[in-house]
Amino acid sequence: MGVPTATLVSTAFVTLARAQATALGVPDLPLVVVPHPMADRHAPEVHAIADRATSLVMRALTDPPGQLAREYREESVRTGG
Amino acid sequence: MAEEQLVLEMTDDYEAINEQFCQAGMTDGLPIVPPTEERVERMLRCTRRRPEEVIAILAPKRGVATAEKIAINGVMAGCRPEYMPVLIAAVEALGEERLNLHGILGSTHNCSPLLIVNGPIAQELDISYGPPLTPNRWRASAAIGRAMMLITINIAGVPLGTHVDTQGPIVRYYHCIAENEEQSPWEPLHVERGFDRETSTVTVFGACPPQHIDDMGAKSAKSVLRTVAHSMATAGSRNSHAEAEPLVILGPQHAATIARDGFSKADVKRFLYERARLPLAQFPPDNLVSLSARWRKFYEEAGPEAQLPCADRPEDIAVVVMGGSGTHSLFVQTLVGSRSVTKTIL
Repeated sequence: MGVPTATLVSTAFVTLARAQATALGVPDLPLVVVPHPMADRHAPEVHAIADRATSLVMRALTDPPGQLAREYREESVRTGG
Repeated sequence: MAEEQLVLEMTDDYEAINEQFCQAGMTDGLPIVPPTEERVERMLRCTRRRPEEVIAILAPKRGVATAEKIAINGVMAGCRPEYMPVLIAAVEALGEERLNLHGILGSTHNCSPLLIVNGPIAQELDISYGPPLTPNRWRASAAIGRAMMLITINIAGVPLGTHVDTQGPIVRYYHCIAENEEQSPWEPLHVERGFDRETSTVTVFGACPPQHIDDMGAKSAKSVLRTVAHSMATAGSRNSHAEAEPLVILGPQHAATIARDGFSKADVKRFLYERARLPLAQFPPDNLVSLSARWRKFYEEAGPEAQLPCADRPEDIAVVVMGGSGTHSLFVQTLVGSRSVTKTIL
């Protein structure tokens, strides 16, 4: 199944990321979504976001692909992506 | 991915058709010319490409740009059929990886494809290059520029996912011009790039909105170019941070003043490379981290007086002559990581 991958996107780019994943043939690609914007945040805030995202990244890398695909299909439907 | 063909049946009512296209997110908000089979067929007669022929695959959706789809969007934008070869060549350019259409459309960076047409076709189609304009001289520029926008929306784009430029509407209109080759003292852009002067080409840049440069007092090449250089080297220009291809559009009067002092186009680029530099002390301090990744070996021991160039090499600065009378020129920042692409118009 290739290399386990966790894709991080900020909320502003979720629609684009989902559409691109679909265009590239992996419509259920797990997306770990972090809040937008990132640019002006100070380091402690960034670390806090990273801490919250870590478990999602771990899941994206290690959960069975079938399980993730089901969840992300539903997420995709729910967000209209 | 299999392409589906969608034939829309609509009532023969201009307002209703426009409403339907607009609601479907297939327009830029302005009324379109309904792309009936007859109109699309007329566009397709102006190219040797077959309707189903794939001209390019367009990021970020990896949309398949066939000649027919290009023709449909051209009709919608108000293009005359004879504009079709320009659209085909421009879409070929959009599909080149080095242009980075993905970055142009999918980034919040204020930029969109800017077409610069060279060669005889510019006058044949009456694409705006500068001399005093009558209203209809805007037609080719407006319609081809708009067609590019509709193509990026309908073939390359993702509704609500692309065209996310922070100040979008200011960025996208009228993005097709021609070089004023008649009044340029130098070789035009396409000749510089190895094409014959009689060959028609289109060059596509990932361009930001232009910055107006005014200098009505300059009487020498260096005087004009100093003004241009200072207008380019600014704290908010991303072209000072990273690899790109800043574009200078000189008005013919400024170009004439420069050429009168014996400056070639290469001299102009060299001058701007040397002089359009941002003192390190003026570089936005919180952005130094992005600079250091790229330039560390040059600047790790630099003092605040060190100067940052606006491009990696003089040749990376693009110079074209365009416009009519007036002591005005333009500086166009370009998208970081995007290189302009020139294609022959057949």
